[in-house]
Amino acid sequence: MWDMTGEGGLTELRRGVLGPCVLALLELRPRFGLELVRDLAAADGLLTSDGTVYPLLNRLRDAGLVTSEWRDDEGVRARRYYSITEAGRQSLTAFRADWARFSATVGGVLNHATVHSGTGGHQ
Amino acid sequence: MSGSAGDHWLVRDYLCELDAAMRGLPAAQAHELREQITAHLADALPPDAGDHQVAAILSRLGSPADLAAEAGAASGSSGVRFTPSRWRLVAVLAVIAVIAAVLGALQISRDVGNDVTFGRDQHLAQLNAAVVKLSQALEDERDLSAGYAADRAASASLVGPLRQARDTTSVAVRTVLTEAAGVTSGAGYQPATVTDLNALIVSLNELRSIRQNVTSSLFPASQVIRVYTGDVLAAANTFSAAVGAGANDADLQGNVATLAALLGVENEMSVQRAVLFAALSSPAQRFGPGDLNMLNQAYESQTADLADFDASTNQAEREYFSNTVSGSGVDAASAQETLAVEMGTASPGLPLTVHASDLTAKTWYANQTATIGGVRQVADGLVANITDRAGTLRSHATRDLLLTSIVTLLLLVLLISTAKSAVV
Repeated sequence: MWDMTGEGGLTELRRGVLGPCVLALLELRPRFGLELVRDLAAADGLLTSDGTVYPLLNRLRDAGLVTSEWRDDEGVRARRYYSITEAGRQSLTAFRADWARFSATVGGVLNHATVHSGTGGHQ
Repeated sequence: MSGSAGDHWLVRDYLCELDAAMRGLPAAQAHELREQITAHLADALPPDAGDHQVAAILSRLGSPADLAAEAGAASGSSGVRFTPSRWRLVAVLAVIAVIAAVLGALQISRDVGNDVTFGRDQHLAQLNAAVVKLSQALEDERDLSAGYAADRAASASLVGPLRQARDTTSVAVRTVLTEAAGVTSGAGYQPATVTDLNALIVSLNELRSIRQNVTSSLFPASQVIRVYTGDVLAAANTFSAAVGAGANDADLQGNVATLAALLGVENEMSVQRAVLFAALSSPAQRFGPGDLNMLNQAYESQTADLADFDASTNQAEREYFSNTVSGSGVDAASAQETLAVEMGTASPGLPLTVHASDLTAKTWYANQTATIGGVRQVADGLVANITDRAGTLRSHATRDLLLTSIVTLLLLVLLISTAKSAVV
């Protein structure tokens, strides 16, 4: 089955939240690939491997939440920059509300369960 | 600048592995991911990166297999993976294809059966048309032979017509033998039909010796009539009467039964033509022993066959018959025959012509031939109907077979191409 405390459980969780996190970063400003990977990596535990960001970006692009364009950076070679679309912003706003409710619910249930099992142990 | 780091052997190995792992992905998707990873490495690796540093960066990227799997899962368009609904679609299509193939094969085999069956009916209809022609030629040959045998010394005028009648019969015999080829029970024909046909073919072999007896022996006329009728014509009429029994169509069967009755009428009329023609052609110009009896019997059989004809057909066909078998020749023949029977009964020792100078062999033959000609016209119409009907049935069966085959093939091609596009 599912090892709740091990890497397996966290990987599934990460997979679900990584998309909104990318959107949240792009909401501030457009970023190129490595830049995005580094900012995500800076948030501890969000990325298992740097490479997964790229298939995710392509998926978001296919869903119309992200666009990309080539840009010349101060004499450096051209880079592909990713930016958020209007649909991406709406999706992010919706996720923020969902996440707030969801994390509150999960937190509430988890804490309550802890208390319960504690009292159960005493009896 | 950073080109040297991108050429690092570890990077080359990594990209090679990535290419291999992405083989199942659409080309555009694989190309895009490779470009993103290459750019990532170009940005991440300093130009003078050492083995250690390169290995660390690559390790952070994740294994090429994981990346490719992630990309495949992301797009859902992997050539190898299937979503359950797609599997279901393929399975449903496969089941439909199998059902279509089985039903198609069953229908095709049924159609092939029909085509073969109606092919046999068509062949028999053509064979029967040839046998009817042969019967008519034999009747003429028999009647002329009877007249010839009645007075061999004085019948020089009949030599020409008789030779012509024999030639016509010989042509008809060859046509029948040609059409008879392949009509065997092994080829699926009714055993009774095959037996009748073989009996006819055997009897045709006797024709040569019968003709020799007519020309060069003292065969009396009555015997000529009996031999032609009993040995050859009976076999032909038996075949024609029973050939419809195996037909696989009610119309066809009905028409063949009507034709058989009509052929009986024609044959009996022809026997009467022969008996009276021979009597009038004989030196004494009167009936020989048993001739009157044969004439009366033929007339009675004709009446019975005519009743069969009336019973087997509809009003339109009956009217067509009475309109066609009519006219001055028909009336004259009827009057002549009545007169001859009365004379032969009342005064068997006197010439039939004693009270009627216009009762001659020539006029009787012409008048009764006109009557028989009318019957033959009706019979030929029936033969044409039978051949047409059999031809129509056959061509419908062939068309059905062709249509079923094409539809089944198209359906299978369509299903297979749909299944194929669902898989790829």
